[in-house]
Amino acid sequence: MRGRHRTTAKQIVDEDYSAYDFKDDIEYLYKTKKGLRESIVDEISKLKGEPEWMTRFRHRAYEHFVKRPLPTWGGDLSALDFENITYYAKPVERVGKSWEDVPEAIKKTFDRLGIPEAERKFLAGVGAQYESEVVYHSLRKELEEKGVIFMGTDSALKEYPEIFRKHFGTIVPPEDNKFAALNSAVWSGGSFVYIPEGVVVDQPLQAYFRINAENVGQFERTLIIAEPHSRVHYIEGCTAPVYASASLHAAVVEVIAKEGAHIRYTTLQNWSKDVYNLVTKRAHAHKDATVEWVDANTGSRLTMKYPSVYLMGPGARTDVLSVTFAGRGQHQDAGAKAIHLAPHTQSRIVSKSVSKDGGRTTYRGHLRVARGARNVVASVRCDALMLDAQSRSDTYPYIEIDEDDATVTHEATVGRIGDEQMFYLMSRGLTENEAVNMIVLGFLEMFTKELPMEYAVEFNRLIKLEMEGSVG
Amino acid sequence: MKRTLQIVDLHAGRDGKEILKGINLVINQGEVHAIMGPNGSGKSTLSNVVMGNPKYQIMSGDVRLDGESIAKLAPNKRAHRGLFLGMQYPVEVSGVKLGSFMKAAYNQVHGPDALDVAGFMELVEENTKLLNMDSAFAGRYVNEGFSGGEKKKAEILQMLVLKPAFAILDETDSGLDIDALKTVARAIDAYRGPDVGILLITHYQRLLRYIKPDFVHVLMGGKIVLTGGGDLAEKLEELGYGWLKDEKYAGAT
Amino acid sequence: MAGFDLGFAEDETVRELSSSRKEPAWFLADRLVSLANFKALRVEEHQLFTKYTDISRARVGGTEPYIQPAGPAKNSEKDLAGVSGVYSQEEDSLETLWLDPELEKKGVVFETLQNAVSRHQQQLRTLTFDHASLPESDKFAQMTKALCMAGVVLHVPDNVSVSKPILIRWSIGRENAALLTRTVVSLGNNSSAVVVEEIEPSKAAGGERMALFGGTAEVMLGEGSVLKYNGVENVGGGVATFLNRQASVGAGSEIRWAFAYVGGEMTRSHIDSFLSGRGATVREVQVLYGGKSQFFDIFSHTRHVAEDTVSDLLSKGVLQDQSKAYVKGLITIEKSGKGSDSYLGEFGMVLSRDSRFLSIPSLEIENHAVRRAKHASSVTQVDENQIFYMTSRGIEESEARKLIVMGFLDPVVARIPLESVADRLRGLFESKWKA
Repeated sequence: MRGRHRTTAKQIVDEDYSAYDFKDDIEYLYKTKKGLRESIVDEISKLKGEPEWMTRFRHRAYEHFVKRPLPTWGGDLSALDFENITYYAKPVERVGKSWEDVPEAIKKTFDRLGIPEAERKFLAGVGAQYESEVVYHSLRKELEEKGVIFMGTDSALKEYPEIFRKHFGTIVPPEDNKFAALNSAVWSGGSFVYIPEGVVVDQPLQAYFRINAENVGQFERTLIIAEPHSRVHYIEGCTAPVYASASLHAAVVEVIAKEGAHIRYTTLQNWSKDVYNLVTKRAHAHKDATVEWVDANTGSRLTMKYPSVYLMGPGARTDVLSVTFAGRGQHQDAGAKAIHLAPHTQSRIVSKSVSKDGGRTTYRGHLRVARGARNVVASVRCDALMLDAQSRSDTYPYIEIDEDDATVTHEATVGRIGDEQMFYLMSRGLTENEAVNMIVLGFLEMFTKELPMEYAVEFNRLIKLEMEGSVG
Repeated sequence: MKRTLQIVDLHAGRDGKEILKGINLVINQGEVHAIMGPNGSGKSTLSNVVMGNPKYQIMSGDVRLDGESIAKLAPNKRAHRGLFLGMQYPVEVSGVKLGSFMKAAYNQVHGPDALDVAGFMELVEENTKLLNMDSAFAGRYVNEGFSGGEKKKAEILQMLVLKPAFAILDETDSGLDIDALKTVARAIDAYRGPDVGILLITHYQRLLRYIKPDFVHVLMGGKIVLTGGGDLAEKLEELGYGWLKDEKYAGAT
Repeated sequence: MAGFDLGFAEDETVRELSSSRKEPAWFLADRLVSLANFKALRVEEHQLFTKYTDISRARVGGTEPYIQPAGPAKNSEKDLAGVSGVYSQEEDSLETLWLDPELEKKGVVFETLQNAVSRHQQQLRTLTFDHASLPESDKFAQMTKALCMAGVVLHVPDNVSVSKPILIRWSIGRENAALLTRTVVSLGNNSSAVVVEEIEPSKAAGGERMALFGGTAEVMLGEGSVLKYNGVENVGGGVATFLNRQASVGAGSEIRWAFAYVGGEMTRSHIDSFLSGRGATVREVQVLYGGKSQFFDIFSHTRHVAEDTVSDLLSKGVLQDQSKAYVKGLITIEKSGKGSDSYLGEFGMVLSRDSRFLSIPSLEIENHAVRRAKHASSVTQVDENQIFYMTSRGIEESEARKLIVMGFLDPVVARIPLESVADRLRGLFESKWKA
């Protein structure tokens, strides 16, 4: 009974991912040979017509990438073959300013993903990246007039060289880790966001990342700069079709919240289950600034991602909400880091994870109160829900305190759905499936309520589909 | 000679913000005063300032005991001179047993030779009974895991054991059910006497049904806007605080 | 991470130690394997903790081992009331070895490792090889196993209850001396015992150069048995201490670890508990109090191997001056550990800006059918509201601070099953506070 039920459910899930699982046969304008060597780094840089400092930056990164061993911790990277990946694939000549400028096949992709519709309804700006390049970018006119910049990172390097160079690579240096080095060597695309002093962007800016072809790596680079007392909410979503062999997504995200600025960064990561998602996300929060990471990972084969915040100025705050869902064959190794470097800073990390069908979730976090960071208040809460005996859940928190007046708490629980809870819901007439769904959605509620309504609906639908047949 | 607790034109507050804007009050031994007032009127500030909570600052004015200023004394020195504050939110102290805590305090207030261990245990036992508390209570850690009612009873227990000359009881009635309220009120009333001055701070009149105060003061906007006899409490119960604001005391806040 | 070299850790030393103790060939072979392990292993093999291990304070590479075995016990101790047995060693000299004759009649064995190796060869071999063998991935466990100079063996047969404590005392700290010791404890079925292990300064303690102490405990519990194992480490300033305690707990049995770490330049303690029988339980409390430039590195790994096993682990540390503590914990609920219940708590109180507290309370859960898997950790200081509350009742501020710090540790100290040990600890903590 159990087995049959699960097979059926698996089909439903697979069928449903079909909403994202379609591929376009498009002709790439340019594609590097598979594998990575120094000449490819040069090739990418030359093709983009970059200034010399960027070429040097890429080389410096490449050298580090070659030297740096793979991490021995985290997920299993043994099947990741750097030689079998295409590091750059160019689908279009230039970034479209309206959807009419985007080639029909690619536009269709984003239509099916509902991007233009969302843009019309409730977004302040949209960027869309397809393989290595940004294919579309728009920003509401009134924001443009206020000096807001929202464009592809490559365009920003050309159009705003000063702002760009001043901030790029300052938050995540290439030497930070192997995948940051890889990204820095071959980066292409990503979003560049600049919010001038005092400007409040009250509707979200959205970027959508799509990998289409097999074994193509995506290495976008996102840089967000919020000048003093400005405010922005940036949302990114990612999907890819299902292939037999792995693709690689290694992004670097740098976020700078200057004095009193407020940045929220929301990610809905739903890569297909053959993508290695190895991402470095880091923010600096200056005096009285707030940075919020809202980070959901339901897709990918392996995710290793620990959004971090360096609280650099007095009064800075951060809130990190991390949600992971690991099904069959998936390992979500996620978490957060809060590094308190200034007095009167606050951090709150909440992690919720669900594992089923042999999936594995890992919370890995680092909370550090450095010398000089007086009067810190920090809390971490991790809850893991395991739906069956095949699954696994780990919690690895590191808490390092170098001050004598910090208030730091950490709590974690791992558990399954309680029998009494099930009985209670079913006694009110719910089926077993409905009851489990309800409990899991309830478990994740504090995350969904942080999403704009349209995304919350989509996220809940996704979870429900992932949940199909988890009891039987 | 009767001892007195005197509050003289007291301006005080927290984090640089003035909350009390000129309070004058004299409490003599043998008297029971009640301070009533709406939320945010400064009642708890007053109790904290009189007891010397370092989080509060006196901007001007004075607090005097028997004519001598105690405004600069540490809280424990004020306790030595016979002051006691029953707190609205008693603090938990993990790992420290209530019994040994009270003994340490008793030795400080009355001297180490005032009572031997057996005598002290008797004193605790007797008052624990008076408050209808479990005798195992003294063996529990200070306020840790206590219910709201137990915390308030433990405050009164400490008052009865430490025998202060002046007791300020801040919202002692909140968190108590009706039976516990009666028990606590009876214990306070029993402690009342010619050598004790009591200041009851309360939002509602319900405690005052059981303990008839000699004086009732209404605190609003950081000032005492009205003083009367015991019957004033009933009037407030009936009419609330609004009429004070609306009519003749409109300027007070 | 720096390496760790020990000058005398050579084949030659091992052979000399073994031959002077007339050990059988298998025991020597076992030592040699451990020596090879010791040399091959890194200071920290566990990937989770490689960045959070520090042995730089252990400047003991040049220490000299006590090669010659201790002679027969002097048995000069007179006051043996209140205990069931005593093993007391001062540096390389065996002061007391005594067991209540009534227990001896019941078949309780309590003797030196050296004697046990020859007299109970087969049992000991089974015990230390098959059941309670020290972790092969732990460099310092292997160090002590390879080079142990003294040891004590306690065996309690089925259905025997040793009601009064068995006292094991190591007095150490002579300048530049190294003493490495092994303790083996086995309880049969439905037995019980209480062990108190004291590690304290010897009369010869002190000097410029550091001393090294390595101590292991290998514990095996049959079914339905209870062992309370209490340890107090209170050595003098210039000592580096490496402790490894390991237990294999059978069905329905319970190990109760209670350890306090007070002294020494640096103390590294690892506890490995295997809950291998159904319903096995570990209850563990650890307290540490660091002052001056002391460093403590304590790690506890509990593995729920069998169904319905229970772990309840609590650590608390107070740090003043420039002291530093790493408090690491790992609970693993294996696939076979259905119905397990585990709690891990790590709490620190930091009293000085120059001190440092690190905690890593980790969980690895491989079976969803757990009754509970929870951990908590916090770092606090003396709360000013508590100070006001206490001073408002007449207590001096300094006294209030002391009460709060002692109160922080007390819930753990109170769980130490021997009142005499708990009281002694309270005294130690208070004197440390005053200093």
